[in-house]
Amino acid sequence: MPLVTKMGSMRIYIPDELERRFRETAMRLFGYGRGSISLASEKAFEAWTHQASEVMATVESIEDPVAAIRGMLSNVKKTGVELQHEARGIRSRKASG
Amino acid sequence: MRREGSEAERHPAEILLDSNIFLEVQLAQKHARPCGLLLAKVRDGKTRAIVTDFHIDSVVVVMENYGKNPREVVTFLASLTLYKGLTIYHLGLYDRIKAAYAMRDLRLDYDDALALQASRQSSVNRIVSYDEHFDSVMSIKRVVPENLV
Repeated sequence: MPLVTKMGSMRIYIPDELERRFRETAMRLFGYGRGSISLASEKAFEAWTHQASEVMATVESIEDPVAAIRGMLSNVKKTGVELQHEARGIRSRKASG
Repeated sequence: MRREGSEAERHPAEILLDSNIFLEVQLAQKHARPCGLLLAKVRDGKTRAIVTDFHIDSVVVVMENYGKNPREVVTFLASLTLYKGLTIYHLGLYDRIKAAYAMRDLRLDYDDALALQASRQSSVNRIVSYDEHFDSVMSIKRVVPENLV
């Protein structure tokens, strides 16, 4: 394993509000000196990459997200709104034991 | 150096998707085609939309209730990651409290009130839904996929 990790650089574009919150959080956690933003970014990239890679195999097997769900409930003879209202009832029943 | 703005800034979310839009595609009945076309526009990033985590879970609750196996649930959930124009809105406790107020003030049920709260927080004033409950809410306009594709 190399003793020195090569560091790359990226230019990314994110909404201003997210950038503000990210910078603020990074500095509160890691200090107001240089390197805080890079350290927080590294952790964020690592966490996202780890999460995404876990579902990558499933996602890669889906060619078209719309086609993938089409007809999944084709045996059900109700409308979407009726099913949505059923979901409310199911939640209520489960919540009340 | 001032950048020109991210994709999200140039194209903020235009619509909020209700659960029944995904359910109609799954049901493959008369609304499936317009719903599918709308979702294809979101898939391709031509339309920017939000959906709440609660409303995603509603679809899962229905799927489970009708005997869909975990693999199919995974397919549905994983498919959501492939929509270029879709943002998942994660509802917090603050949102739920505000929604509870909306239940009282606007006589909405909880999940409609959550949708309304998410739309307000995201500055989205159109909800895509077949649920006519939203028609009584002045601050949001209900549209159906047939009007958007």
